Amino acid sequence: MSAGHDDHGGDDHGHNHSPWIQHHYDDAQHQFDSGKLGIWLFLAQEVLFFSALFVAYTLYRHHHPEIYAYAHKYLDVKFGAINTGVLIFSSLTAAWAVRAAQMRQKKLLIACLSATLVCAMAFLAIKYIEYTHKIHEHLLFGKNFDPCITASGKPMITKNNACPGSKGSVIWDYGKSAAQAGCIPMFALDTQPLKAGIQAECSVVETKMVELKGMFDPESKSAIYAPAPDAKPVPIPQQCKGGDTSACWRTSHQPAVCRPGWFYSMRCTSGPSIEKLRADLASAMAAAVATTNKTGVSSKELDAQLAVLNKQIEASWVAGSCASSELYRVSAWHADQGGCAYSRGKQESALAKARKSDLELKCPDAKDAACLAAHAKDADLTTYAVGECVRSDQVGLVVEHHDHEVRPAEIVVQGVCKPPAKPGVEGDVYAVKEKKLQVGAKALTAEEVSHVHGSHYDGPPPEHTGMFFTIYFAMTGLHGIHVLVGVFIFIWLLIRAVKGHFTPEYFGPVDWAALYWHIVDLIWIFLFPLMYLIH
Amino acid sequence: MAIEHHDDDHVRANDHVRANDAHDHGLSHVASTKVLLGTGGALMVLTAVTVLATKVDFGMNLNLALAMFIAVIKATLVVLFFMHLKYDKLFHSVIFISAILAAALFVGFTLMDSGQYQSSNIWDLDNPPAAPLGPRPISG
Repeated sequence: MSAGHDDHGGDDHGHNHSPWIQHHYDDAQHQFDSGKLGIWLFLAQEVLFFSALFVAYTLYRHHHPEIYAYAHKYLDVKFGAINTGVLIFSSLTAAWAVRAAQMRQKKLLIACLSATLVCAMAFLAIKYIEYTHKIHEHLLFGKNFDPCITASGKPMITKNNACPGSKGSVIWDYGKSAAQAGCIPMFALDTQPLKAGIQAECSVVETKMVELKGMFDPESKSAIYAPAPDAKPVPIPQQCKGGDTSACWRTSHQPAVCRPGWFYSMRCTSGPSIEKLRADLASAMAAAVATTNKTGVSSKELDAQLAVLNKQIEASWVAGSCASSELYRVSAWHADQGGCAYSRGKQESALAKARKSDLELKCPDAKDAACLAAHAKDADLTTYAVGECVRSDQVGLVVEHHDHEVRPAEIVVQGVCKPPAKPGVEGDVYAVKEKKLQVGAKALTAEEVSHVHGSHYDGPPPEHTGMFFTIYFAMTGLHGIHVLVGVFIFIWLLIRAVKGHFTPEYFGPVDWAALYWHIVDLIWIFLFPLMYLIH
Repeated sequence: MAIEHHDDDHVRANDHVRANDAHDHGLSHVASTKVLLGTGGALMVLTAVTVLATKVDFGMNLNLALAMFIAVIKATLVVLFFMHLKYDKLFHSVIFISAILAAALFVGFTLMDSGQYQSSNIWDLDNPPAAPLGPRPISG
């Protein structure tokens, strides 16, 4: 274009015939270079703009690695990875759009701009899904962080008791001195013990997801639960039986449906002494492990051994004043020191394997559908190892009806709640029993701290986990706004491209928008590992 | 004039088709399809590598360093090729690198005095700090 520089400065009737070259520029090159310099200055500003948030991130992560190690598990790597791919692809199409404009390839230019636009919208759609999930589970910023689930997806007690459909919690009303409502997860641990309403000590009797069969897995030494393949969530009826009805759990505050695998209560404050239960159960469990921990055990054999185990456990359970009129079966127990005792995750347990081989014995012909159907119930091959965390002063019991009967729509929860005997202590995640602490003191022992800091820790969130989400929403939100701006820019470019405005002499807007889009991609390249891929 | 213009255009377009790394015939550098596809592909591969690397336990710090290293490589690819900085004016690189350096200083200087912070600003009744450090916790 330098050819036109001397002769045609500012003249758009000569060499620079593009009507988009403005009069105050010498020529197309002058206009393009000015714009490009401008956009680079803008991008430098963008880097500094985002750097403030990166400082917040770095500083907080430096001081609280445990929060990051924990909280990132709330995020779904899948969504982050897809969005990374989407942005990289859109960066490619944006860069290609510039090339197409430079090469006077109008159709290709339109195609590239359209692809970039679609990718930008797809990115926002995925962000929308992610944000919606977080709002639903109360994984929000600052004080609004009140999650319904732990990072590993277990239901959790919350402050506001308002997680629809997936969990429950209890609210202690100090004014009325009564529990308002609730559905206590197995480990009713407090994330903010100083806060009223989440420290109520409840003794809840009766709990059972009726579709589940409780079993003891000799391999992982933990309870496994085998929901029937077609198990559906059972709605909780609006009834409350016996006991102190004023303290009954209100179904309106119960989750709309209880999900298989979730246990909605447990805490015994008035039963047999914890020490006695521990001793009884430990010996019973040890005996069960000794007898079942061999290979090739059939389901029948195992069931028989479990029955022996449960009889012993039932005896100790029923002996206490905690028991209600119904019998329960205690299928899992471990609370020696507090902390997480069980393995977790979906896995094929020794029992599942045993049941599989059992089924093969019963139905030698694998194609015999009738036989398979007849014995299908015996062979719940889907097994889940359900891990739970318990406190040192908490008896970890999973109780269920001892008769294995399925009781349709019959989940009745009886509860009596009273205020905690002693006020909670700050940071009491796995508080050591009888340790007196002042507000502000760290309640965690060295061992427990390492537990909380470990990447495998999956109890309730560490203190101030809300900060992670504050930073998460600030960073991804600001980035998302940039993507949204990009959407409008690319719509505008697309319209102009269709009108044929862009030529090799005039494609500045495409070039500059692409540069902007690349910086948006570039920031996400850092956000993705920093948010989603924390190890 | 018209003919001259036509020739000019013709040469430029041809140039681009033949050797896309050719400079300064148009308003700016035209990226070759090979470079574009190569960069895009490399970015995708590196993304997969980042995700896979997280699954291997090198220790928290090493994992972070690795993830950031890959991210920096990816960012460099984007800046050099997608953003044409490799072929662009030096001054644009100066602007951009200055911004990165300023951001690095920002992070670095903030971390420098972070050892001076109180681990918590929650009031300890037994051992109150020498000076008030922040709001008391909301109680009740």
